[in-house]
Amino acid sequence: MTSGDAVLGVSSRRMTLPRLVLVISAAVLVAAMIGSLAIGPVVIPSGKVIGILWDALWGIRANTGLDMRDAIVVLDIRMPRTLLAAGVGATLAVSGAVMQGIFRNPLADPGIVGVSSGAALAAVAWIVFGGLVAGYVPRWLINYSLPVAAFGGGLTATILLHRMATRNGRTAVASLLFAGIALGSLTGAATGLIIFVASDQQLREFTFWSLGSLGGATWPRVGILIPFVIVLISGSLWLARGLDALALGEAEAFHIGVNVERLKRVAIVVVAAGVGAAVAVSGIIGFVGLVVPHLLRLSAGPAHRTLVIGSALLGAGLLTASDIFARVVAAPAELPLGVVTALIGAPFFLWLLRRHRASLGA
Amino acid sequence: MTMYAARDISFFVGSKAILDSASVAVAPGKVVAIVGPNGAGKSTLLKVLAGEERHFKGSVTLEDSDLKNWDPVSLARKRAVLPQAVVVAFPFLSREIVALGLPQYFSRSEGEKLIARALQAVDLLQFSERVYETLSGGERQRVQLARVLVQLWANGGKGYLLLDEPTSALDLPHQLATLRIARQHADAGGGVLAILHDINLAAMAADEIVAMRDGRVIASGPPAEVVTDGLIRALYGVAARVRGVPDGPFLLPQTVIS
Repeated sequence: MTSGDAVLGVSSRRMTLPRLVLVISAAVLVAAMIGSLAIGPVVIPSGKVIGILWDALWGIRANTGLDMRDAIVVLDIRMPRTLLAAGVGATLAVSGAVMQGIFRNPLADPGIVGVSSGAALAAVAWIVFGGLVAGYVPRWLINYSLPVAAFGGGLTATILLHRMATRNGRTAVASLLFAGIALGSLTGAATGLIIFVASDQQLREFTFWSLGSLGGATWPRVGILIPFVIVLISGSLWLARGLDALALGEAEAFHIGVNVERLKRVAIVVVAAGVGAAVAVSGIIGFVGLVVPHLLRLSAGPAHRTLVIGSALLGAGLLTASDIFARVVAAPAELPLGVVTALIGAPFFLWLLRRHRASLGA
Repeated sequence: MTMYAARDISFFVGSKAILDSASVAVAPGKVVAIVGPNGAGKSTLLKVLAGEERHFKGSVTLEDSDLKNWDPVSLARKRAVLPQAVVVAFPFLSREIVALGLPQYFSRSEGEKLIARALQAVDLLQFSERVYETLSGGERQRVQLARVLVQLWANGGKGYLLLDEPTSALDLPHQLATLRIARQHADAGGGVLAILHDINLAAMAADEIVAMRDGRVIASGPPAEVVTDGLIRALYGVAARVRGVPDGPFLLPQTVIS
């Protein structure tokens, strides 16, 4: 059956209204963010969290006693981490949605097909060798050198993947996954070689990449991520109509007036920028880009405008919720966030593969 | 003249000539049918006309301007293409597929009307909320036809329809309905170029038949002149008796000549 790789055995009609799904996603995000600000070693009631936020909005801040302590916990400690979780979640989910759009395949996730590991390789290379060339980097760029390096790595990986897996505008599931595996192994091996020559300090920094964590959340990191998130989401919204058309095929998209080559170039660049920034601030966090767009397609349909907005909201919400879980479940220790998302995402991925068996010829 | 024409098109894959100085043209108000055996280069010629295949010798002009001067958006206002079979990558609904034919920033209410009209024209209005990939092959082909109709209707209703075997998956009544839609489009001032395998349907629907074999055009003209026993033999190696019926020639295939 030729339609096997297109439909995931869904019902022939759609169940819910796209708008309702977006409202629910937004509600999940708000709840997760308040939860993330409220929950920790010191539990602050959500009503109080909202009060602190409301006051902060008007520039008011408690400066005595327990109120001051709570304000510091909420605004200075938990807020950057919460925003980083939301930003990384939105970035990964939107990147996944756009990648699946260009590859015309619901299995294309930046983590699975090696884009994240390409970004991580470049980031690790920068940590270890960057010192040699740091003197030549313009001053204004120095804070961004790590995400920019990761962006370069992600971009290279995406372009390579596209070259390897796509022929005549068609991407076969099998070649996409095989190319992704090869790319992942290769970048993993290269990363291993670099670690071989790394110092102890660099090694400690690296551990953070391989498992994915938001432990180092600070306001400057949030500041680094934000421009990339804006570029990714606005770029993806601009691409939405073209990505819808691309679902028909590359030739068909051209027939209805889409400049396909430009569409793909822009899409690959914004995805690499998003994944690069996310990897630079939080390491490799897998499966968000796979699970979130898929849930949205099932509930709200595949139109990319809704998919991008919904992925941003739900990706942010789910990763924030996963981060609460990562902090709480083994407190006072913390689980790496990448481990939590993999625990949820990997079985989901297997389930998805199972539903795709027909088109994989397995 | 405002025509859509491909002149002396040659196209090679390696050293093999898929097209060899093939020419075809369609003018507003006309239905042109391309016929010929499998592998004759019909689809490739259509791709060249559509602007999809760019590495060829010869020239394609649309409204007196070389196709190279047309950007994808302007081209999409002038011509729509129905491919042989379209596999859609995600679970879009039929009406969402049809809506893809609308230009960007098109009025929503006008768009809804055109979509309903097109789905009505292909007899699928009742399936507008169904997921495309759950439809049968023939139903999918008709959804795609509705999409290309919407594309031309939203851009003034004229323009050129390029159809690659638009009836291949259809039952008899829908084959006739599809050809009627093509005829109506031409009568409304548009042009239609269709690849067809059924010579009788082609003779019935077309103003001109272009017969292709081995990448070359071996005959072209009005059906009554072109469709002869000799052509069918030269084209397919099939013995057939061509007779006239009130609407034009009609042939009965008899046997393959080895």
